[in-house]
Amino acid sequence: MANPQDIENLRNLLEVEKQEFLSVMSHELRTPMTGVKGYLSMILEGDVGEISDNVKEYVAQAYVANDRLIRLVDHMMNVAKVQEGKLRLNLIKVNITREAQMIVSDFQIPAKEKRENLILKADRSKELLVKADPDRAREILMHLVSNAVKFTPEGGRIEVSFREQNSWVITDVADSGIGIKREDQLRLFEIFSKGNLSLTGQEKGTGLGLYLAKKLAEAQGGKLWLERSEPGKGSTFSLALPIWSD
Amino acid sequence: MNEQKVILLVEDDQILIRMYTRKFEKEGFKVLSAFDGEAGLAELKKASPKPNIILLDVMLPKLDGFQVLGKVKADPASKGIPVILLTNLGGGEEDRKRGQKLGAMDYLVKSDLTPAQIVEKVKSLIM
Repeated sequence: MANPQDIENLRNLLEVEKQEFLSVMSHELRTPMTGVKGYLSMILEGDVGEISDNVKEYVAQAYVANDRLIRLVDHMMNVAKVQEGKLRLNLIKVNITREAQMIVSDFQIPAKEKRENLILKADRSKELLVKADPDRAREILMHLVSNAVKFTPEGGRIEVSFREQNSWVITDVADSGIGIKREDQLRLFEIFSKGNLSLTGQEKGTGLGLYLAKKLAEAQGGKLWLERSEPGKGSTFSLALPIWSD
Repeated sequence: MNEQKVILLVEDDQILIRMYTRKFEKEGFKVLSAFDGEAGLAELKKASPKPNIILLDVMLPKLDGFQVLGKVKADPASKGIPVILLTNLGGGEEDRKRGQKLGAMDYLVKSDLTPAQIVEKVKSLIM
């Protein structure tokens, strides 16, 4: 009969090897994707001269698809860490409006591709400071905005806005997209939920993103929920993070 | 007359080094480059004038980015040159703090940024 201590040691060793493998693979996958992202962005910026609208559209679609691959690699790494309880957080003062502004700016290319109006509604004179891990907060917002862009048809509208409620700053990401059926809403934040996997074509998700986003929010002492959704009319996701207090 | 700014780029991926070089040259920078940590330090030593900024990959052969950063900051001839660390590692906040402690001005995840965004970061630091 195997010694329980030996079994535990072997389990720990396998876990370390798994984490190292994931870390190396994440780096090796991200590097060529960085090249793809970079060159496609340079073409869109006109670095090789004027390109036709058709070519621009093809290139922008490739840019969006590559960005999704990059996010998928990030998600895989983070899900592994969350599941093993190995997520390390750095909870500091974060200007959530500034983080959201950067995300909104980053997603202008894919949003413009679908002629979507992606805007940030914020009082620029007021800083909204929360207690959060800046990388993780950014990751959650990136996922919400990415989903909103993905699930909103051409010509739609996505709005990121903020409200304060008691000791929370709530960031709302509202889209005029396809909405979520009531029966799918109940399992939305579960890993590999059927709601995600049953979608077709362009809208299909991996089933990882919302599960991970919710776990990251909770790990920071916050909350993530679906505020409202109606098929054909759009959805609003809300992220609450604690207000920073000195 | 505006003096041409010089960047030293230390990156072991051939595709990325060519990509960043193209973008920075298009923006009017002069680009010096090296494919590993030791070559990066050698390029820095022989450069005249010295670069205005160093973009330093973290995962490098021979000497990694943190080791190169340490040597750059330990040398009076180069310690004043701003250094930005570039990475596709998942080290996150821990690696960012390590870089900060060693004297890096910033720590950027390459796959999160386009070359244009990296150029903007560099311009915000040296122009």
